[in-house]
Amino acid sequence: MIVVSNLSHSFGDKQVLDNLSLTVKDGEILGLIGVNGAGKSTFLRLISGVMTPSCGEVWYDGLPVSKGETRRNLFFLPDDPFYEVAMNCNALFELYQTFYPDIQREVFKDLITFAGLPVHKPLSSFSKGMRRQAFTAIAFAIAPKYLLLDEAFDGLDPLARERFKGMVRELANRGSTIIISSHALKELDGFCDNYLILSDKQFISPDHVAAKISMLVKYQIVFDTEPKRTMFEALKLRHYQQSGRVVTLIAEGDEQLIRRRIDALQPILVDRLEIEPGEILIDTMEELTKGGDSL
Amino acid sequence: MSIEMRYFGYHFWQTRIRLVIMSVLAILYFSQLAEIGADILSLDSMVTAGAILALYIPILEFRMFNTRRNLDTWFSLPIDRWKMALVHVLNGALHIAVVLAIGMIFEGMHVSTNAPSYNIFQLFVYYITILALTLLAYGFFCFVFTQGNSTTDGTLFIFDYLLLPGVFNGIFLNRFYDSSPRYFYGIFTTIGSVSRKFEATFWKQPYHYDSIWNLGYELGGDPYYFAVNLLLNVLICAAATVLMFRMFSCKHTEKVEDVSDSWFGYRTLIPVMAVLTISSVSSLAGYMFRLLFIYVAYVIYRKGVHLKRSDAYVIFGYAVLLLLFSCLAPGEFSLFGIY
Repeated sequence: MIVVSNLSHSFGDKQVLDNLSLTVKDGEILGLIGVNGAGKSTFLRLISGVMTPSCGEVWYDGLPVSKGETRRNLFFLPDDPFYEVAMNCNALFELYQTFYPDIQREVFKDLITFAGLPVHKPLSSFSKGMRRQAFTAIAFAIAPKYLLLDEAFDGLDPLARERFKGMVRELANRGSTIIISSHALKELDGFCDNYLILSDKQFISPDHVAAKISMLVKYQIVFDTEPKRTMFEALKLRHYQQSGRVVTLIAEGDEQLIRRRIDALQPILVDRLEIEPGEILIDTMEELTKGGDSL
Repeated sequence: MSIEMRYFGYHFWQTRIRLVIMSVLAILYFSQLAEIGADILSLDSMVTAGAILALYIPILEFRMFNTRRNLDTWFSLPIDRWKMALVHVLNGALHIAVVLAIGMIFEGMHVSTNAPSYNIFQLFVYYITILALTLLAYGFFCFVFTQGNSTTDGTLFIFDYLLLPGVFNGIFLNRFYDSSPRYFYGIFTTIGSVSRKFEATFWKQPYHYDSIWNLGYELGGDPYYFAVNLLLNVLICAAATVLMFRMFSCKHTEKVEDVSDSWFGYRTLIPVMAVLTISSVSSLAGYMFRLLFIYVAYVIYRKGVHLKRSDAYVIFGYAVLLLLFSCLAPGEFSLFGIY
């Protein structure tokens, strides 16, 4: 279990994270979402021991992250990890084998082969996506109890992304706890067990997200003729998508009132849909990006 | 095997080519010296080699920690930071020991050829003594280098600390004392003095005067000041090495590649150097040059031409101090014709 307690951090006079507390259960995949510069990478650096927090503590199974011994169960994959200019995949494996003696060579070899990475070529000649695949191969070969991934999907092609998600899920099923940060919401949608939004130095509370879900309704509406968007002006729309005579919308407000207003437009079919957590996050993130009211 | 031992093995293997190159250079250097002849043999060659290594190896061992990208990986690995620093210090120490051992072998060959009556065991004692002192100096310069948040700053700090005792003696103390035994000598001059004491025993004569360590002769001549200097240097170097491990453990990763604002760096060195050189100014041109020099030093420190208010205060304070000194100092150091 990861316990983050009253974590704050400043860069000189500028506070970047303020009093963050969090508990992540074993086997959980937690998505950490925030706009660029929100402090996701800083948060991951603090909980991986790379940075020392100005205040607060981070514990893994009751042990402080500042101790090297604690980090034996932890692997942090930063956005741009270290490698020597002349280092190839084998040399990279040797480096990590030094610190993680139980790393599985077969798993690493299989993943490298599957990704089609040249074993003897230096990593510096790889594209960003190829390098990313080499490092994720290291992460899965180590199979740590705690895996921290910063902008995990950056540079991966769609196929590699799906395979990566499958492996993360498999690792979580074996009891590993994974925290993934991303600014690309769609990447994490439907993949994580829980989500956290980092904004304005703090986490946006899951209670607020739940409250927001109760304030929104999603409908798919079919008309006999192609409707115009102006027809929905009476509704406080958060999302609007139209394909011919079919409209999908998310509106905010009292559900019964919204339904009455939709019915007044005389549609031929109205279907109420469940809102995905990702849609709530996208809505929240859009508000944050626009500088609107945060939840 | 512990992770620390595994990392030491890994790091030693990664730096093997450096060790081979240094060993080859050491063989070339010491074999050449051994051929010079008995009458001008100086054991200072060991001191010189040791000094170069003690100044250069800290840069090689610790420069990798001056890149933020590297630290994301290194500081998240399952090893305590101070143990990681210890691995690097020990690896560098091993390289120094190997190079100086090569020196000892060649010196030994030379001593046994030119002074066959000499007990060669004492050369081993000499090697251990010089190695121990060189490693202390190496520890000190590891501390100095790691005070920089970039390789350039760390290297400049090394040069600054190397010059500091000389500036302190030659420019500042020189105005108040006329005898050099009262000077404070840096670690390398002290090592040179120790070396010369062995040398005197080897060749059964007080000192070799054909050497670059001129200041050390006089230091060696006074047992009291020699002992004080040696003790002070040992204490400073040992304390700096211990402090380095402590500071490395709490290194602010986010400050790497940024301004080096350690109290052991520019923040102290620039004002100290400014004050120490105050007495050497004896003309308006010299005065302006010093002010310009301090400004440039702050530009390097701040990595920009816009200085902080506190820096401006230091420069202003220095200018006032300089003016006061000019008024109070003897005529030859007075500025603007104030006598």
